[in-house]
Amino acid sequence: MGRRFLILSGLLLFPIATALFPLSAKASEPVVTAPKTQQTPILTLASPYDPIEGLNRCFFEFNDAFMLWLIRPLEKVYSFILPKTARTRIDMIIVNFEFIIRGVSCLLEGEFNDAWVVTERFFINLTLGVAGIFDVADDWFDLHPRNEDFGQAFATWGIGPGFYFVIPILGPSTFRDAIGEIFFFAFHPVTWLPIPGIGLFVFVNRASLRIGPYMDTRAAAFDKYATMRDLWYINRLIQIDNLDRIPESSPDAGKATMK
Amino acid sequence: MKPNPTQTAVTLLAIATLTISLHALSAEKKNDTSIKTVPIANYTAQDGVRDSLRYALCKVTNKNLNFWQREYPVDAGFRDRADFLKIQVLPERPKLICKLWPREKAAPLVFILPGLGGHYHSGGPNALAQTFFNAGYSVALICSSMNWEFYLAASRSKAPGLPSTDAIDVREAIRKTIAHIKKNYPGKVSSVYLAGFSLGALHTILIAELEAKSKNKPTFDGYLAVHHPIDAFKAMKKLDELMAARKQWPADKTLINLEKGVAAYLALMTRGLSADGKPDVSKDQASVIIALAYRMSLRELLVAVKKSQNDMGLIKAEYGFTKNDLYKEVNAISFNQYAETFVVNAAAERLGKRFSISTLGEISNLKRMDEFLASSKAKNVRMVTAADDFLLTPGDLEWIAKTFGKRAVIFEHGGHMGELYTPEAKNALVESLKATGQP
Repeated sequence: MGRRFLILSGLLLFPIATALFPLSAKASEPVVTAPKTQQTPILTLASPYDPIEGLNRCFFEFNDAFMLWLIRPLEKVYSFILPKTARTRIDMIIVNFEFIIRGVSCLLEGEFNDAWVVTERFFINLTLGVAGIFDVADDWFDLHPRNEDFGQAFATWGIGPGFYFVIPILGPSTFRDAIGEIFFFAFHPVTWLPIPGIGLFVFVNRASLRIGPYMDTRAAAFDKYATMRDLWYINRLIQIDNLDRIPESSPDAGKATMK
Repeated sequence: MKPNPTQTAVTLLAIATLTISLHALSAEKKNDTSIKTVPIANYTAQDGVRDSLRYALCKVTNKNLNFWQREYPVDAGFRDRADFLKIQVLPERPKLICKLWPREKAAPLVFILPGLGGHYHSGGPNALAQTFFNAGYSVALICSSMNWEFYLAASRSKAPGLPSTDAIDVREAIRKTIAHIKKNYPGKVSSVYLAGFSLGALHTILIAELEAKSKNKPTFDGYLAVHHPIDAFKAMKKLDELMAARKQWPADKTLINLEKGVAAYLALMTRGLSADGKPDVSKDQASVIIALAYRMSLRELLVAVKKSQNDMGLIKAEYGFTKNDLYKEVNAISFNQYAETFVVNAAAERLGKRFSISTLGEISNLKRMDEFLASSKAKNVRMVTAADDFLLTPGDLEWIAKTFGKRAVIFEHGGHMGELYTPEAKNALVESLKATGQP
């Protein structure tokens, strides 16, 4: 109940928030402080605008401790109960039911063909793929995933990222993408499932598949916050510009990135 | 008789043409006899820069895992099978971490030194460790001397980067690590080898010289230098030149070109080469992302230098909880600036005398060591590189061929370490290392 209230409040607050923090396309351009010239260091260009760094670092430390002391032990126990294949297939089912988020995002972007592909993928994987345990749409029909979300949809409208913002528990984001996250949860099927603890289960299951690279990056970085921030940011830019899509002509097309 | 001007001109032209032709012919002949390159089957080469990106294909492979290893985190494969050793190299400093893959029975131990900024968690050095482990060696891996972790634990310089002094620090760290291994894994080490990559390879050769000069019993039975630069400071300048490729891009296209480069690199890591057997990236994009990767590690090192209060007043911003101002400053420091300010000042403090960057370059330049490298003392030093390695400058290949002779394997293509994923290169690494131990 509380979660739904938060989501609805977030949706209502969106227009107020955008009025307070005008997100023009220009907000994304001079990413930090220097003017956008050839002289701007490339490392500065590849970092997000971070005016609330102090607060973000606090949230980062909280999230890091949360990952290290709560999720990591939970994930270890969970991974001993369920084999990797089962955890992967569970995640694939959840990803399949997240089609509504990707479909609506594609529609908001005006990418009607992609929205259709997302819908086709959902129904094929729901039926032939046994709820999404198998990605038949990709393997048999060459319907590759479209990993769109609301933040990306807002970006195609010309809304800039605004400032970098670490969301407690959820991790790196920008102001624009944080608003997108509210819509993500509003449209996520798990939000509306009346099963206690289902959200935590989905979170831990996904974390069990992705925590390895996080721990490696964490161990190799001197300033974990800055490293995670900049890696996340460049990866996010790549997602927004759809540069992470598998080329249709590629022999590897069919090996979905979501797997 | 007065000479006919036309006839004279024709004669001179003929002589000039002949001279040029003969010179070209002799140069070609010289090249033919001195540099023999090794081809790689099914390697669709592009250029030294783009080919270098294929280092991303150096990955740990986990074959023949059983059900429990595949499905449960009891053993996630080669990377997780290592022991992590903690060695106190310098007093009142953090301990140096060494990743060790020991073999059950007595075996030769190979120490791997990664390239500039490399970490023992990085994919490439782990894959190279696996290559040697699969060939029967125990393998030890530490960070590069220009990685923040090594710097904090084992560097005596205020700012690392001068190869001749860094090699002394690396040697000391390795000797202490070997002593630790021999104590804690009794009877498991039959002989010790050193294999360095890129900057680590330059250190490997410098350590070989230090060992040869030492009166003590040699620490190592053999040395393998893979893709070593001849002059570290010229190599740093080259990295800045790679970054300068962005000047070709309009200001408003810089970020998208950077994204395309990173996306191509990620695709290479996750999906391998594209259908035509090449990375799908332009030369300028490849140049910039190679330079970016190295600049990120330099940035980390600089922040560690600042935290240790060893910046010699060269970084104005403070090290605090928030670091935006610090990053704004260090993001703008190029390799050349780092060398000319931080390294020069740190070297002056350590050596007790101030030298210019060109003099420091000469001290660490391998070409000053050609007498040692060509001598019988260096018969256990071997090297592997590629003819189109972008760190090599004109004349370097000829010097390598002349100095190392049959102890060098020079691949036709690969750029800087971009051939190391191929079976030919893996085989060359193992065979070259084995050959270092042979009389």
